Amino acid sequence: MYFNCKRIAVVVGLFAFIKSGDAQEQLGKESMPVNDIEMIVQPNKCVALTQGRRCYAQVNITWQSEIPTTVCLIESNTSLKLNCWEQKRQGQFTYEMASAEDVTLSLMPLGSSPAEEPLVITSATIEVSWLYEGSARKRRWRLF
Amino acid sequence: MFKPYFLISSFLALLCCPVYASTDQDFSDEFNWNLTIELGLVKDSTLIVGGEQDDFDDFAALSVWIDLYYKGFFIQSNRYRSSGVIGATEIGYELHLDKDFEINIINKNYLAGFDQRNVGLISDQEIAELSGIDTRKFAPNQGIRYLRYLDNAVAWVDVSVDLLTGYHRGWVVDAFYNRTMEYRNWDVSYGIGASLFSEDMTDYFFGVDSHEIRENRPFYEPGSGYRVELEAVAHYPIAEDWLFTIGSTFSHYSNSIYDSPLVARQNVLRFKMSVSYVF
Repeated sequence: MYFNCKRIAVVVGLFAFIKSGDAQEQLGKESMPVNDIEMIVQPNKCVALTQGRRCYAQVNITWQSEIPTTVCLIESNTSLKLNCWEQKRQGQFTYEMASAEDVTLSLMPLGSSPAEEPLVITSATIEVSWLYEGSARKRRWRLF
Repeated sequence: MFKPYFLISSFLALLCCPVYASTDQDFSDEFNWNLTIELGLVKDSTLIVGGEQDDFDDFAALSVWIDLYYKGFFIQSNRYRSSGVIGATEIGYELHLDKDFEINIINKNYLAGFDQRNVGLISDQEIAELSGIDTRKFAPNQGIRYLRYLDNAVAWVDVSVDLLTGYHRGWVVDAFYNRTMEYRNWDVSYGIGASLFSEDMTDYFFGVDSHEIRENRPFYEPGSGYRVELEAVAHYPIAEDWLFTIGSTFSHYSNSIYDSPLVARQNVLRFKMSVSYVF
């Protein structure tokens, strides 16, 4: 399923995120110090048998921060909030993927939504690929 | 009384006549091909005597297969894939295409050939039990397939005769039903099929002629025979280009075939586990 099980480490500085004082006000918190969050998504590829078919994978997501952080893990495609952590330096989550398209997972400050791009702290995409293009009408039906 | 051979061959001739050519075809102009290199382990209890697997080489099967499709013509390497025999390739042409069914002309092997040195995965070895027999060549039959697409399933009936090679001039009626279920990234299929072989065909493959008679090999002339098969296969995409396959086929042969001195058993169980690179 996951041939290239490379680890991806997406390190995004919070400079862009924290530049917006508005964002912090929305959260009702004081300005946060500069922070780096490292998120590891493994695997980052999901292979289906045929194009267009839903691909299933159990994806492990871990993140860690230099300072205690309040963040949520969001499935960007659907804006679904998968999990939140309050004032944690690290987190772990197992995501049950079932999608025919690439899935982007984002860490965002609590209370923000994926529509607010600048608020994305870090994100990673799980690519969906396939072995056979299209669902050929003719195929091999016998083993031998 | 007409022999089935003449009836079937006459029917095929009519189908090839332009008058009968269907005009509402919707063939894809796109040239589709699929090249696969497969490395597998095959356990075959073998129908024919002397085909027992002993060495590791007998279990390992490296095969290169190509499937092509263009404007109604297709080549598929379905049957006897593990044998690596070119003659095992299925060639066809779609006479009529419909949403739910197809009518194809096909050229296909229904029984595997063998000789005194080659049986199943055993190749280039002197097989004492088959010493002195004539070669049973891979003799593809030509015929018509009616194939029906159902929900997650396919069923077909082949009616074919040995028109081209003339090795046995026998006919076969072959039917199969296959259902596929998706479970996460797996494809799991199971199937059931039955084949009815004419006397000419069973005689060519399983009969013993007078010049082939040996101490433990009496003269034998089988009547028509049949084979019933059950199959289960699972496919899993290991990566973008790699496919894992595991499956098993159980075949039960009629008494007329089993009673042949060339046949080792009535029930044959084959198991395959393979990894394929798909181009």
